[in-house]
Amino acid sequence: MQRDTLLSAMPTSSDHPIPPAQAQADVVLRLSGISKLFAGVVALSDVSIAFSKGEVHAILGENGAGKSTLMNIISGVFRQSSGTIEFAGRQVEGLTPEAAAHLGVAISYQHPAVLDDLSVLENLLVALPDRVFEGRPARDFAREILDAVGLSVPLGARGDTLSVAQKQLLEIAKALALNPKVLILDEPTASLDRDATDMLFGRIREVVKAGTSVIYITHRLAEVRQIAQRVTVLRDGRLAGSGMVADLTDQDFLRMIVGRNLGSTFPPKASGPAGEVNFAVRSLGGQKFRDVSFEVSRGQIIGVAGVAGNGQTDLMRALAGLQPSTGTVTLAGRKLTHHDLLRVAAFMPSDRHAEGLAGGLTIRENAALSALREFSRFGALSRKKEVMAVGEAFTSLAVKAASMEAEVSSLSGGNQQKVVLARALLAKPGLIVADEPTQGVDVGARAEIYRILRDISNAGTPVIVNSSDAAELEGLCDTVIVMSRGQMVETLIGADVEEARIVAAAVNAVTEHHAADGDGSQGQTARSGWRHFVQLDNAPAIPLTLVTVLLALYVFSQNTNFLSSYNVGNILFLATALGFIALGQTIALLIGGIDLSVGPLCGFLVVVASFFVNDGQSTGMILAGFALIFTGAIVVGLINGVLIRFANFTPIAATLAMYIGLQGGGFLMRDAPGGYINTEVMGWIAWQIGPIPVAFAVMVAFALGAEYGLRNLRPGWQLRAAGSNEDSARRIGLRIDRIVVACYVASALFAALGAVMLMAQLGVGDARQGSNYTLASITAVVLGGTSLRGGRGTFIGTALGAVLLMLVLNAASFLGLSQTWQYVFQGALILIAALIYATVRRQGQA
Amino acid sequence: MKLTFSKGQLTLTAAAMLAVAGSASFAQDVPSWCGPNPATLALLDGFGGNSWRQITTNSGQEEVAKCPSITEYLYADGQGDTQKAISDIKSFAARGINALVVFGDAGPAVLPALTSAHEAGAVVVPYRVDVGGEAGVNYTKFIGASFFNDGVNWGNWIKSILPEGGNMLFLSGPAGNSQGLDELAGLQSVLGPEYVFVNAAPFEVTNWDPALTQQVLTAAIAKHDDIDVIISDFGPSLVGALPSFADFGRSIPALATSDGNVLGCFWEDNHAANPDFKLFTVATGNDNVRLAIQWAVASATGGTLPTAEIFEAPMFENSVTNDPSAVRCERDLPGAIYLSAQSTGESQTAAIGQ
Repeated sequence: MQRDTLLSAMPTSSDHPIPPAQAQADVVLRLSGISKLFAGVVALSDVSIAFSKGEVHAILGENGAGKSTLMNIISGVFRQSSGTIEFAGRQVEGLTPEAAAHLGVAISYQHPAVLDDLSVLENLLVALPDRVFEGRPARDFAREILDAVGLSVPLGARGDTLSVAQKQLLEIAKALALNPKVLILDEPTASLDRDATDMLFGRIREVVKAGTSVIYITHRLAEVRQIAQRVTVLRDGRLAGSGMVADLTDQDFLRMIVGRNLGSTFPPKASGPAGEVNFAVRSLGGQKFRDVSFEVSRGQIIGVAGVAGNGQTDLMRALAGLQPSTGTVTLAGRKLTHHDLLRVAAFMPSDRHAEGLAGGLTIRENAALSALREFSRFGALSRKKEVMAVGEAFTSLAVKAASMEAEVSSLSGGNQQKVVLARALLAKPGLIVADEPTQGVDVGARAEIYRILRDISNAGTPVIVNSSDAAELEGLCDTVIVMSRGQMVETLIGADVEEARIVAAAVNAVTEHHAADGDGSQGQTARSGWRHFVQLDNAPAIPLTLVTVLLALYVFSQNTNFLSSYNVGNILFLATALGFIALGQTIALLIGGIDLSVGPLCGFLVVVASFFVNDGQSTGMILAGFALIFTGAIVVGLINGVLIRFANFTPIAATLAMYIGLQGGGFLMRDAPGGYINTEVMGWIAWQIGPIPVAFAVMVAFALGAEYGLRNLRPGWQLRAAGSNEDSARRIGLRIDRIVVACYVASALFAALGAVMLMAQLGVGDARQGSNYTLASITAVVLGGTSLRGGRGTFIGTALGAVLLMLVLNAASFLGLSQTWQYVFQGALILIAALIYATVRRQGQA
Repeated sequence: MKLTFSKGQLTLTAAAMLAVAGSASFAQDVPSWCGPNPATLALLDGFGGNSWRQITTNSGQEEVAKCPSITEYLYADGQGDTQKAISDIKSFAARGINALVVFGDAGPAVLPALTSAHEAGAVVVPYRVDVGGEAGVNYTKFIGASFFNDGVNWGNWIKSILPEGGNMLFLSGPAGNSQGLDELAGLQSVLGPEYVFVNAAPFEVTNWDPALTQQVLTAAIAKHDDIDVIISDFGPSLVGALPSFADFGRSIPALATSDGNVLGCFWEDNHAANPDFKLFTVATGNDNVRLAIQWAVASATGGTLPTAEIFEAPMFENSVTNDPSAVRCERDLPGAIYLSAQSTGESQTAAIGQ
């Protein structure tokens, strides 16, 4: 019904297959009658839109209106249930992400597909096809496309050191770099400040001039007016209207979006004289801000403004007790330490996906999370109390969800933010700290969030809001402090709280910011140089080498035989088998998995070889034995990979099943040790030049080669991307299944190389051998500094880790340590390594 | 061969041994295998983590203490990890230890390491577990135990109590271990086809782990209601499961196995109520290490080589004939010790830390 009223307000009607712009010229992309159903639920219904060359076409609609679904259909991620897609007049069937990219569609996601464990440069290299880099150094090209969006971060900076805004710019830069015919920008300015937004709009105008069709998804009406020529509004999966921006008023837009007239979006401000001060901050200092002081009276909302990245976020985190701070914070007359703040304050983070919500839990669980103590008696949770309280909160916040047991990730952005808010309220906090509370939230939900914040404030709980939207601060806040370079540069009170004055204060300070930046820049570079170094994945090589050398020298001082050619050869020879296997394990851990089967696989392959590689066998037979070792490894790797990717096994379950299976297989072939290995072959494998076994040199060469590939070749970036964040990696177009299966095959092949070494070490086929390598390989990898969470690691570190483990084993017998001390020694070494890496990384991020 | 429990032989404690080793002021009868040349010796275990191993290690140490020419004695435990065992062997050789006595749990898998140590100039004496290879080429001398002989002893005793034949359940250690296979060969050399093995060929796998033994044996008791004799090369591990026979209303059958204080006491407590419960044990072989030590010390110090080249575990207890001994039980001492060993009960008790 609402739709009818709307349509009357509109110059066009969705009943027409192609809306008004029948006259629309140069159509690049035409969608006709597109519908999409998810498990019977209609997400899109009969949507027809045409996008023209050289035009910015805004798509408006509340969250959940179907905008993202539509974009995913255009970019080939989803297949439409019915309807047709035409590119340049030609109908396209069965669009895939690759095909869409090939047709010239590029998309910048609202939640950037930026991989945290990869550097900025690597993020570009892995996401962009080789052709865009052709003909010049990748660094130059990367610098150029980053400059084009005004992103000035070091190319070597890791993804996780970027702010949300920087990630967004990187995401946009990736899309622009493709010179696309159709550029989709999904909420690109959600986290950007005014400067960055202006810069982005400049770029958009340029590419539009060059003929690109830009599809611009946003919540900000002002932006639509600024940048778009044409607009289409979606509501509940249907076309709500469309037309030229110039022909429509803001009221028209709002009516189309929400189907009602919003009137004033903001609740009335605090009236009358300021009441008693119930929250005061004096000379607060922290990581990126200092000397911040302000007071909040009962019923007032305090706003924090400024150009993004001037300490506002850190100030908010400090106020929420998430970061240490100096100075005093007084709440209702009581001084609070930062531990108190953590308990008292409710924090609404700006990155709700990363910090605000637990993706796998239901909305009830998410809401109740921090208030569980309120619902429990003697440690037992009262489900009834919980459901009642959460239900009340959801009703008052107007959370729209299928049920309280719906998964939180199924909600639209606005409703997710309301769940975050509900959680903050249920915990009955003494203070609300809201960092960008309406980022990515649609207009309707925004108004509700404003109302709720105002209600909380009226009820006596101080509310502090950080926002990059000055208009929002003007509408919502009673007092606004403006930050620049980590300091307060302006405090606006009452009638002075105006968008123009907020922006002016921030912008004027920015000039100063840049001018002053010159002085400190040298020191900054020096410090960030160190910071970047300790962040390098292969930085652990330095301490490992140091420990190895020091330990060797110490034992040598006790017994000179330690560095005898015989002993050094022994250590390195033993380290070679472990090294190979651990290199394979590194791959499995980098991809975010684990390969428990490497140990038994190694033993199994030696048993296989013991039937062929014997004294008196023909050369052909011996070669066949080696061929079988590697074929067997490939088969095992494939099975591991397929079980994990296609049969929904976790890596631990799949490779553990393989672990047991291979042990059984070994015993089936040989229930007692037998099949002595050919002595000549063993001689070759153990061939030593001076104290260095040739096989060890080969292992080191493999480690260096793998390290080079990991940093500089596309498969290396893909491996780390997939291990860092599978979801983002998929969105940038990587074929995860294929990558993961290849990784497990590679891991098994390294185990096969280990088996060749083990063969020479044991000299006999024995099904009981090898399984210890599983744990030892994981130990070596962890010691080498590879993260067990995937995405980050180093082959060089792994090789060094293997050497160090064998050195420790050998040193223990040289030093005559008792068994207890041998265990303690090894355990302490791993513990210290883990602690050092954790500390170093934290420093790197500081 | 008679077993002696002479305390006079063990005048040295382990700690005192290290402190005063090589001291000439210490007057004692030096055995002939202890030569005049000073040497260092290491005892290497593949796996040292159970009481049998601790008592064996202690026995080895007692034996070493008899020879003042040994200036340094070391011990290493492979912790059940073949790579560590290999590393231990090689690093002791690299360190310049003169004599290595090795319990090669991993079997032939440690042969290349032994060969390497032998080639580096160390006296290498593997014992008890067959490691393959050849004396003089891969190592100095292998001092095996005659497990075949144990099988023969058990077989003869079984024949004496069940002349008409019967059903036998045979348990040994890990799958495919050579000790179990040798014992089986010994049994089969004596027993005809009227003696039937009801277990899966070649033996039920227990890993010599008391917990697993209890599982396996309990299952076998439930499955076979006609077991006449249980044969095991680790007698004390049976004690946990034997009470299951009572649950089925059956008598505990005859046992042909190796000794242990806990088993002797169990027999004393239960044989009256279980008419078929006859017990025959061979010495469990803690003293195998002594012969190996003697060989290693003699080779390294220039002493006289022992005449025995293989350790034959003597028969120990026989509840039917009381020959060579009646079943023995020392209730004052822990169950985990072995009264067949040369070490005193007190010394063993100290070795297992009780």
